[in-house]
Amino acid sequence: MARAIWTGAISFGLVSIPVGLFSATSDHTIHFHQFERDTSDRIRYQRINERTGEEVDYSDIVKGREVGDGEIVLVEQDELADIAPGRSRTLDIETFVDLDEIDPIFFQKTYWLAPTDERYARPYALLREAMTRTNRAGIATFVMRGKEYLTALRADGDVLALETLFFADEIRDRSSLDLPGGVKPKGKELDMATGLIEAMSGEWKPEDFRDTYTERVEKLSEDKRKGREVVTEAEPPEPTAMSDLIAALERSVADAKGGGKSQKGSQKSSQKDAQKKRNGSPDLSELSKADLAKMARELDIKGRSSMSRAKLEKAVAEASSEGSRKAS
Amino acid sequence: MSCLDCARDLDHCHGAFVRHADGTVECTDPACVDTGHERHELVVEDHSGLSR
Repeated sequence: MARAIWTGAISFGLVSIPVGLFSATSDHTIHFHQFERDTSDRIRYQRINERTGEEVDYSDIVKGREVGDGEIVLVEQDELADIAPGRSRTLDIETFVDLDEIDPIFFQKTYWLAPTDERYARPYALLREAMTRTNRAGIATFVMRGKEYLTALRADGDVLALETLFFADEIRDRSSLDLPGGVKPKGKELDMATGLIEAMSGEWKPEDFRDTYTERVEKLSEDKRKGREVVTEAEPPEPTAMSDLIAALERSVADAKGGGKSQKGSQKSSQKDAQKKRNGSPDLSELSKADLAKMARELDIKGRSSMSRAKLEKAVAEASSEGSRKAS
Repeated sequence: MSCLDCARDLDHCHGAFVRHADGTVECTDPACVDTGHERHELVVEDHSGLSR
Protein backbone atom coordinates (compact mmCIF):
# COMPACT_ATOMS: atom_id res chain seq x y z
CA MET A 1 0.00 0.00 0.00
CA ALA A 2 1.15 3.54 -0.75
CA ARG A 3 2.64 5.48 2.14
CA ALA A 4 0.77 8.57 3.28
CA ILE A 5 2.42 11.97 3.00
CA TRP A 6 0.63 13.07 6.17
CA THR A 7 -1.32 11.30 8.88
CA GLY A 8 -3.66 12.78 11.43
CA ALA A 9 -7.33 12.90 12.29
CA ILE A 10 -10.34 14.62 10.79
CA SER A 11 -12.00 16.51 13.62
CA PHE A 12 -15.74 16.75 12.92
CA GLY A 13 -17.60 18.06 15.97
CA LEU A 14 -16.76 15.57 18.69
CA VAL A 15 -15.98 12.86 16.13
CA SER A 16 -12.34 12.14 15.32
CA ILE A 17 -11.41 9.99 12.31
CA PRO A 18 -7.73 8.98 11.92
CA VAL A 19 -6.75 9.25 8.25
CA GLY A 20 -3.78 9.25 5.91
CA LEU A 21 -3.32 11.78 3.10
CA PHE A 22 -2.31 10.64 -0.41
CA SER A 23 -1.69 12.61 -3.61
CA ALA A 24 -4.57 12.11 -6.05
CA THR A 25 -2.75 13.45 -9.08
CA SER A 26 0.65 13.13 -10.67
CA ASP A 27 2.32 15.38 -13.18
CA HIS A 28 3.21 13.59 -16.43
CA THR A 29 5.41 16.42 -17.71
CA ILE A 30 8.81 15.28 -18.90
CA HIS A 31 11.28 16.53 -16.32
CA PHE A 32 14.51 17.51 -18.02
CA HIS A 33 17.78 17.37 -16.14
CA GLN A 34 20.32 20.16 -16.59
CA PHE A 35 23.63 19.55 -18.38
CA GLU A 36 26.54 21.73 -19.41
CA ARG A 37 26.27 22.34 -23.19
CA ASP A 38 28.32 19.96 -25.41
CA THR A 39 29.00 17.64 -22.50
CA SER A 40 27.16 14.86 -20.70
CA ASP A 41 27.95 16.49 -17.38
CA ARG A 42 24.92 16.85 -15.13
CA ILE A 43 24.37 20.07 -13.22
CA ARG A 44 23.97 19.04 -9.60
CA TYR A 45 22.75 20.96 -6.63
CA GLN A 46 24.54 20.53 -3.37
CA ARG A 47 23.80 21.99 0.02
CA ILE A 48 27.03 23.68 0.92
CA ASN A 49 28.06 25.57 4.04
CA GLU A 50 29.02 28.90 2.49
CA ARG A 51 31.85 29.46 5.01
CA THR A 52 33.51 26.02 5.02
CA GLY A 53 32.53 24.89 1.51
CA GLU A 54 31.59 21.54 3.04
CA GLU A 55 28.38 19.72 2.06
CA VAL A 56 25.83 19.67 4.89
CA ASP A 57 23.78 16.58 5.70
CA TYR A 58 19.97 16.84 5.77
CA SER A 59 19.88 16.01 9.47
CA ASP A 60 22.14 19.01 10.21
CA ILE A 61 20.02 21.54 8.31
CA VAL A 62 17.67 23.77 10.29
CA LYS A 63 15.56 26.66 9.13
CA GLY A 64 16.43 30.23 9.99
CA ARG A 65 15.47 33.79 9.22
CA GLU A 66 17.12 37.13 9.57
CA VAL A 67 15.42 39.33 12.14
CA GLY A 68 17.47 42.51 11.59
CA ASP A 69 20.95 43.82 12.43
CA GLY A 70 22.46 40.62 11.06
CA GLU A 71 20.79 38.60 13.79
CA ILE A 72 19.51 35.20 12.71
CA VAL A 73 16.95 33.03 14.50
CA LEU A 74 17.23 29.29 13.90
CA VAL A 75 14.28 26.97 14.39
CA GLU A 76 14.07 23.18 14.58
CA GLN A 77 11.45 21.09 12.77
CA ASP A 78 9.80 20.05 16.06
CA GLU A 79 9.72 23.65 17.33
CA LEU A 80 7.65 24.61 14.27
CA ALA A 81 5.35 21.64 14.91
CA ASP A 82 4.98 22.66 18.57
CA ILE A 83 3.67 26.17 17.79
CA ALA A 84 0.71 24.63 15.97
CA PRO A 85 -0.49 22.44 18.86
CA GLY A 86 -2.62 19.65 17.44
CA ARG A 87 -2.95 21.32 14.05
CA SER A 88 -0.11 19.34 12.53
CA ARG A 89 -2.04 16.21 13.52
CA THR A 90 -5.66 17.22 12.95
CA LEU A 91 -7.82 18.46 10.11
CA ASP A 92 -10.26 20.69 11.95
CA ILE A 93 -13.52 21.11 10.05
CA GLU A 94 -14.69 24.59 11.00
CA THR A 95 -17.74 24.91 8.76
CA PHE A 96 -19.56 23.25 5.87
CA VAL A 97 -20.29 25.17 2.69
CA ASP A 98 -22.13 24.47 -0.53
CA LEU A 99 -19.47 22.93 -2.78
CA ASP A 100 -20.65 24.98 -5.77
CA GLU A 101 -20.04 28.23 -3.89
CA ILE A 102 -16.28 27.78 -4.06
CA ASP A 103 -14.87 29.67 -7.04
CA PRO A 104 -12.52 27.34 -9.00
CA ILE A 105 -9.78 29.97 -8.69
CA PHE A 106 -9.29 28.84 -5.07
CA PHE A 107 -8.57 25.17 -5.90
CA GLN A 108 -4.90 24.19 -5.70
CA LYS A 109 -4.41 20.41 -5.64
CA THR A 110 -6.42 17.28 -4.86
CA TYR A 111 -5.53 14.58 -2.34
CA TRP A 112 -7.35 11.52 -1.08
CA LEU A 113 -8.00 10.73 2.52
CA ALA A 114 -8.25 7.11 3.68
CA PRO A 115 -8.90 5.76 7.18
CA THR A 116 -5.72 4.48 8.80
CA ASP A 117 -7.49 1.41 10.16
CA GLU A 118 -10.65 -0.60 9.42
CA ARG A 119 -11.96 0.39 12.84
CA TYR A 120 -12.51 3.93 11.51
CA ALA A 121 -14.39 2.87 8.37
CA ARG A 122 -17.78 3.60 9.93
CA PRO A 123 -17.29 7.27 10.91
CA TYR A 124 -15.38 7.79 7.62
CA ALA A 125 -18.33 6.45 5.60
CA LEU A 126 -20.77 8.44 7.73
CA LEU A 127 -19.03 11.76 7.01
CA ARG A 128 -18.68 10.88 3.30
CA GLU A 129 -22.37 9.97 2.91
CA ALA A 130 -23.59 13.00 4.86
CA MET A 131 -21.54 15.32 2.65
CA THR A 132 -22.82 13.56 -0.50
CA ARG A 133 -26.39 13.96 0.69
CA THR A 134 -25.98 17.67 1.44
CA ASN A 135 -23.59 18.49 -1.46
CA ARG A 136 -21.48 20.31 1.09
CA ALA A 137 -17.76 20.48 1.66
CA GLY A 138 -16.08 20.72 5.03
CA ILE A 139 -13.71 23.68 5.29
CA ALA A 140 -10.72 22.72 7.39
CA THR A 141 -7.20 23.83 8.13
CA PHE A 142 -4.16 21.77 8.97
CA VAL A 143 -0.39 22.05 9.07
CA MET A 144 1.93 19.90 6.96
CA ARG A 145 5.72 20.28 6.86
CA GLY A 146 5.76 23.76 8.27
CA LYS A 147 2.97 25.19 6.14
CA GLU A 148 -0.66 25.82 7.00
CA TYR A 149 -3.20 24.69 4.41
CA LEU A 150 -6.76 25.82 3.91
CA THR A 151 -8.72 22.89 2.55
CA ALA A 152 -12.12 21.68 1.43
CA LEU A 153 -13.06 18.09 2.22
CA ARG A 154 -15.61 16.62 -0.14
CA ALA A 155 -17.14 13.26 -0.96
CA ASP A 156 -15.96 11.77 -4.26
CA GLY A 157 -17.72 8.45 -4.79
CA ASP A 158 -16.40 6.06 -2.18
CA VAL A 159 -13.52 8.26 -1.08
CA LEU A 160 -13.08 11.51 0.81
CA ALA A 161 -11.15 14.00 -1.29
CA LEU A 162 -9.26 16.96 0.10
CA GLU A 163 -8.73 20.05 -2.03
CA THR A 164 -6.05 22.45 -0.88
CA LEU A 165 -7.25 26.00 -1.41
CA PHE A 166 -5.55 29.34 -1.79
CA PHE A 167 -6.15 31.77 1.05
CA ALA A 168 -8.15 34.83 -0.07
CA ASP A 169 -5.09 37.11 0.12
CA GLU A 170 -3.24 34.81 -2.29
CA ILE A 171 -5.67 35.58 -5.13
CA ARG A 172 -4.25 38.43 -7.17
CA ASP A 173 -6.14 41.66 -7.73
CA ARG A 174 -7.57 41.62 -11.27
CA SER A 175 -7.91 45.41 -11.33
CA SER A 176 -4.30 45.60 -12.56
CA LEU A 177 -5.43 44.00 -15.85
CA ASP A 178 -6.40 46.19 -18.77
CA LEU A 179 -9.85 44.65 -19.27
CA PRO A 180 -12.32 45.86 -21.93
CA GLY A 181 -14.98 46.78 -19.34
CA GLY A 182 -16.82 49.29 -21.55
CA VAL A 183 -17.30 46.87 -24.46
CA LYS A 184 -20.72 45.18 -24.33
CA PRO A 185 -21.13 42.77 -27.26
CA LYS A 186 -24.68 42.48 -28.59
CA GLY A 187 -26.74 41.79 -31.70
CA LYS A 188 -25.65 39.40 -34.42
CA GLU A 189 -22.11 38.98 -33.13
CA LEU A 190 -23.29 37.81 -29.73
CA ASP A 191 -25.94 35.53 -31.26
CA MET A 192 -23.36 33.95 -33.55
CA ALA A 193 -20.84 33.48 -30.73
CA THR A 194 -23.55 31.95 -28.53
CA GLY A 195 -24.58 29.69 -31.41
CA LEU A 196 -20.97 28.60 -31.89
CA ILE A 197 -20.68 27.71 -28.20
CA GLU A 198 -23.92 25.71 -28.40
CA ALA A 199 -22.75 23.91 -31.56
CA MET A 200 -19.41 23.04 -29.93
CA SER A 201 -20.94 21.96 -26.59
CA GLY A 202 -20.60 18.42 -25.34
CA GLU A 203 -20.13 16.33 -22.24
CA TRP A 204 -16.96 16.69 -20.20
CA LYS A 205 -14.85 13.65 -21.12
CA PRO A 206 -11.34 14.20 -19.73
CA GLU A 207 -10.06 11.05 -21.43
CA ASP A 208 -10.68 12.74 -24.81
CA PHE A 209 -7.86 15.20 -24.13
CA ARG A 210 -4.17 14.43 -24.07
CA ASP A 211 -0.97 16.36 -23.65
CA THR A 212 0.21 16.61 -27.26
CA TYR A 213 3.08 18.91 -26.31
CA THR A 214 4.62 16.26 -24.05
CA GLU A 215 4.20 13.75 -26.89
CA ARG A 216 6.08 16.15 -29.18
CA VAL A 217 8.85 16.55 -26.60
CA GLU A 218 9.13 12.76 -26.48
CA LYS A 219 9.26 12.62 -30.28
CA LEU A 220 11.87 15.38 -30.36
CA SER A 221 14.03 13.38 -27.94
CA GLU A 222 13.59 10.20 -29.98
CA ASP A 223 14.32 11.98 -33.28
CA LYS A 224 17.47 13.56 -31.89
CA ARG A 225 18.57 10.20 -30.47
CA LYS A 226 18.20 8.60 -33.91
CA GLY A 227 19.75 11.57 -35.71
CA ARG A 228 16.55 12.34 -37.62
CA GLU A 229 15.72 15.81 -38.82
CA VAL A 230 13.61 17.73 -36.34
CA VAL A 231 10.53 19.25 -37.97
CA THR A 232 9.23 22.40 -36.36
CA GLU A 233 5.55 23.19 -35.93
CA ALA A 234 3.61 25.62 -38.11
CA GLU A 235 3.14 29.14 -36.78
CA PRO A 236 -0.01 29.76 -34.69
CA PRO A 237 -2.94 31.45 -36.52
CA GLU A 238 -2.98 35.22 -36.86
CA PRO A 239 -5.43 37.13 -34.61
CA THR A 240 -8.80 37.67 -36.32
CA ALA A 241 -9.21 41.16 -37.79
CA MET A 242 -12.18 42.96 -36.23
CA SER A 243 -13.80 43.48 -39.65
CA ASP A 244 -13.68 39.69 -40.23
CA LEU A 245 -15.25 38.73 -36.90
CA ILE A 246 -18.75 37.93 -38.23
CA ALA A 247 -17.35 36.02 -41.21
CA ALA A 248 -15.03 34.01 -38.94
CA LEU A 249 -17.92 33.20 -36.60
CA GLU A 250 -20.16 32.15 -39.51
CA ARG A 251 -17.50 29.81 -40.89
CA SER A 252 -16.86 28.39 -37.38
CA VAL A 253 -20.56 27.66 -36.82
CA ALA A 254 -20.80 26.01 -40.26
CA ASP A 255 -17.71 23.89 -39.49
CA ALA A 256 -19.08 22.88 -36.09
CA LYS A 257 -22.48 21.96 -37.54
CA GLY A 258 -20.96 20.17 -40.49
CA GLY A 259 -19.09 17.61 -38.36
CA GLY A 260 -15.45 17.86 -39.28
CA LYS A 261 -12.94 16.10 -37.10
CA SER A 262 -13.87 12.95 -35.22
CA GLN A 263 -13.53 14.58 -31.80
CA LYS A 264 -15.92 17.34 -32.79
CA GLY A 265 -18.25 14.67 -34.10
CA SER A 266 -18.26 12.82 -30.80
CA GLN A 267 -18.86 16.06 -28.92
CA LYS A 268 -21.83 16.78 -31.16
CA SER A 269 -23.36 13.37 -30.57
CA SER A 270 -22.80 13.83 -26.82
CA GLN A 271 -24.65 17.10 -27.06
CA LYS A 272 -27.51 15.39 -28.86
CA ASP A 273 -27.62 12.73 -26.15
CA ALA A 274 -27.81 15.43 -23.50
CA GLN A 275 -30.56 17.16 -25.46
CA LYS A 276 -32.47 13.90 -25.75
CA LYS A 277 -32.19 13.48 -21.99
CA ARG A 278 -33.62 16.93 -21.40
CA ASN A 279 -36.54 16.26 -23.75
CA GLY A 280 -37.50 13.26 -21.65
CA SER A 281 -37.60 13.38 -17.89
CA PRO A 282 -34.02 13.97 -16.83
CA ASP A 283 -32.81 13.15 -13.36
CA LEU A 284 -31.88 16.67 -12.22
CA SER A 285 -29.48 15.33 -9.61
CA GLU A 286 -27.33 13.91 -12.42
CA LEU A 287 -27.10 17.18 -14.35
CA SER A 288 -24.18 19.57 -14.12
CA LYS A 289 -24.59 23.12 -12.88
CA ALA A 290 -24.16 24.33 -16.49
CA ASP A 291 -26.99 22.08 -17.69
CA LEU A 292 -29.23 23.25 -14.85
CA ALA A 293 -28.36 26.90 -15.61
CA LYS A 294 -29.36 26.31 -19.23
CA MET A 295 -32.69 24.81 -18.17
CA ALA A 296 -33.21 27.71 -15.75
CA ARG A 297 -32.61 30.14 -18.60
CA GLU A 298 -35.13 28.31 -20.80
CA LEU A 299 -37.64 28.35 -17.92
CA ASP A 300 -36.90 32.05 -17.31
CA ILE A 301 -36.19 31.51 -13.61
CA LYS A 302 -35.45 34.82 -11.92
CA GLY A 303 -32.16 35.23 -10.01
CA ARG A 304 -30.69 32.08 -11.62
CA SER A 305 -27.26 33.60 -12.21
CA SER A 306 -26.52 33.89 -8.50
CA MET A 307 -27.91 30.46 -7.54
CA SER A 308 -25.76 27.57 -6.32
CA ARG A 309 -26.13 24.20 -8.02
CA ALA A 310 -28.43 22.93 -5.27
CA LYS A 311 -30.68 25.99 -5.52
CA LEU A 312 -30.76 25.74 -9.32
CA GLU A 313 -31.83 22.09 -9.11
CA LYS A 314 -34.64 22.98 -6.72
CA ALA A 315 -35.81 25.97 -8.77
CA VAL A 316 -35.76 23.99 -12.04
CA ALA A 317 -37.69 21.13 -10.44
CA GLU A 318 -40.33 23.53 -9.12
CA ALA A 319 -40.62 25.48 -12.37
CA SER A 320 -40.82 22.27 -14.43
CA SER A 321 -43.57 20.76 -12.32
CA GLU A 322 -45.46 24.09 -12.38
CA GLY A 323 -45.14 24.13 -16.17
CA SER A 324 -46.44 20.56 -16.41
CA ARG A 325 -49.45 21.41 -14.25
CA LYS A 326 -50.29 24.42 -16.44
CA ALA A 327 -49.95 22.32 -19.58
CA SER A 328 -52.35 19.66 -18.28
CA MET B 1 18.24 15.31 15.68
CA SER B 2 16.03 12.64 14.10
CA CYS B 3 13.55 13.41 11.32
CA LEU B 4 9.94 13.65 12.48
CA ASP B 5 8.64 12.34 9.16
CA CYS B 6 10.96 9.32 9.35
CA ALA B 7 9.72 8.68 12.89
CA ARG B 8 6.12 8.72 11.63
CA ASP B 9 6.93 6.57 8.55
CA LEU B 10 5.60 9.20 6.16
CA ASP B 11 6.35 9.35 2.44
CA HIS B 12 8.83 12.23 2.19
CA CYS B 13 12.18 13.24 0.71
CA HIS B 14 15.31 14.67 2.31
CA GLY B 15 16.37 16.42 -0.88
CA ALA B 16 15.73 20.09 -1.55
CA PHE B 17 12.84 20.70 -3.94
CA VAL B 18 13.94 23.32 -6.49
CA ARG B 19 11.31 25.28 -8.40
CA HIS B 20 12.89 27.07 -11.38
CA ALA B 21 11.65 30.35 -12.85
CA ASP B 22 10.46 28.58 -16.03
CA GLY B 23 8.13 26.38 -13.99
CA THR B 24 10.25 23.24 -14.13
CA VAL B 25 11.02 21.50 -10.89
CA GLU B 26 13.65 19.11 -9.68
CA CYS B 27 14.98 17.59 -6.51
CA THR B 28 18.57 17.62 -5.33
CA ASP B 29 18.23 13.98 -4.32
CA PRO B 30 18.93 11.84 -7.43
CA ALA B 31 16.87 9.05 -5.88
CA CYS B 32 13.77 11.20 -5.44
CA VAL B 33 10.83 9.40 -7.05
CA ASP B 34 8.08 11.99 -6.84
CA THR B 35 8.54 15.72 -7.35
CA GLY B 36 5.49 16.73 -5.35
CA HIS B 37 6.59 19.78 -3.33
CA GLU B 38 4.61 18.62 -0.31
CA ARG B 39 6.94 15.61 0.08
CA HIS B 40 9.81 17.97 0.76
CA GLU B 41 10.70 19.83 3.93
CA LEU B 42 13.16 22.05 2.07
CA VAL B 43 11.82 24.05 -0.88
CA VAL B 44 14.00 26.44 -2.90
CA GLU B 45 12.68 29.02 -5.35
CA ASP B 46 15.22 29.55 -8.15
CA HIS B 47 14.69 32.91 -9.81
CA SER B 48 18.08 32.97 -11.53
CA GLY B 49 16.62 32.59 -15.04
CA LEU B 50 14.10 35.43 -14.77
CA SER B 51 16.32 38.22 -16.10
CA ARG B 52 17.43 36.31 -19.20
